[in-house]
Amino acid sequence: MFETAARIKPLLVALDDEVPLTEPVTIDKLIELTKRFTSFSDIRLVPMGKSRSIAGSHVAFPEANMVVIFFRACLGHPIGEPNRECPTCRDARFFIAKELSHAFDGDDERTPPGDAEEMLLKETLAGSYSGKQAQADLLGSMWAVEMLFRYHNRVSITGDGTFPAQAQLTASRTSGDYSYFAKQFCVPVVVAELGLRDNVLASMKALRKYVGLPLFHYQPGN
Amino acid sequence: MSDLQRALDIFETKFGKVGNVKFLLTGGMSMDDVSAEFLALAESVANDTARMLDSYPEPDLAQ
Repeated sequence: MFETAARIKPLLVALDDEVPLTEPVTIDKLIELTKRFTSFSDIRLVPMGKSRSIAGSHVAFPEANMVVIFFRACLGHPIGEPNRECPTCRDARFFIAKELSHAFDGDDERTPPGDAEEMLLKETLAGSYSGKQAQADLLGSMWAVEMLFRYHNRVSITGDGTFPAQAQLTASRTSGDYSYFAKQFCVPVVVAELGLRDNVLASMKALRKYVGLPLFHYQPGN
Repeated sequence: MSDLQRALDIFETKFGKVGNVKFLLTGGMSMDDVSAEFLALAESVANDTARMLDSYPEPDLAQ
């Protein structure tokens, strides 16, 4: 986990430097930064219409410096522009971000074809995640949260009471309805709820401290 | 050979060696479901029936 955090750190820093905290992160920007900080210069998205079991998939071709990402797409809106009101679009953004994070996988976290069935699918389907390859798959979801619902936003929301969003957080925690934050940051509702949990934020704070990521990032106007 | 391995063979034939494959799965599936779906995806890419987006803004998905 710490090794992956160190590898993905430049992307998170660049996101905070280049995208105002008040704006949702675009998939276009995530692809641009993934290209900048990995060896993959060609990243293709393949929208899937109906899919029973696969919400997203990442297939990397290192010799071609290429990644192909399949994602369960919204058939009503293009993915290039964040659509806060559409839950299917918000889901699709999360699926893509999760699969993009695997471009940062370390050597021992990658799943080559021979291991895919034994080391990845069986563990993933069983929910065991004991091997590093399957753990990386689980961690990808965590990095997707960090990319789309950024730490500094969540710190502001859960902070010391000086930000207006904290009143909304109290309301969300009381009602269990996190759709306000889901729409604001264009993420699935479950991601908004997860990202604002105190224990998740505390874990991320420790991780960020360990790899030298800033614990609070000020942008004028935020 | 499983559908999953067939799918990966198809990808290798088209783009070269596969170095990493990952999935985000939804509930209620089986190994056979995932493998069969992944094979269908690989075949759609191999047959150029999949739309591979490499620039923005992409075409209107509603079409």
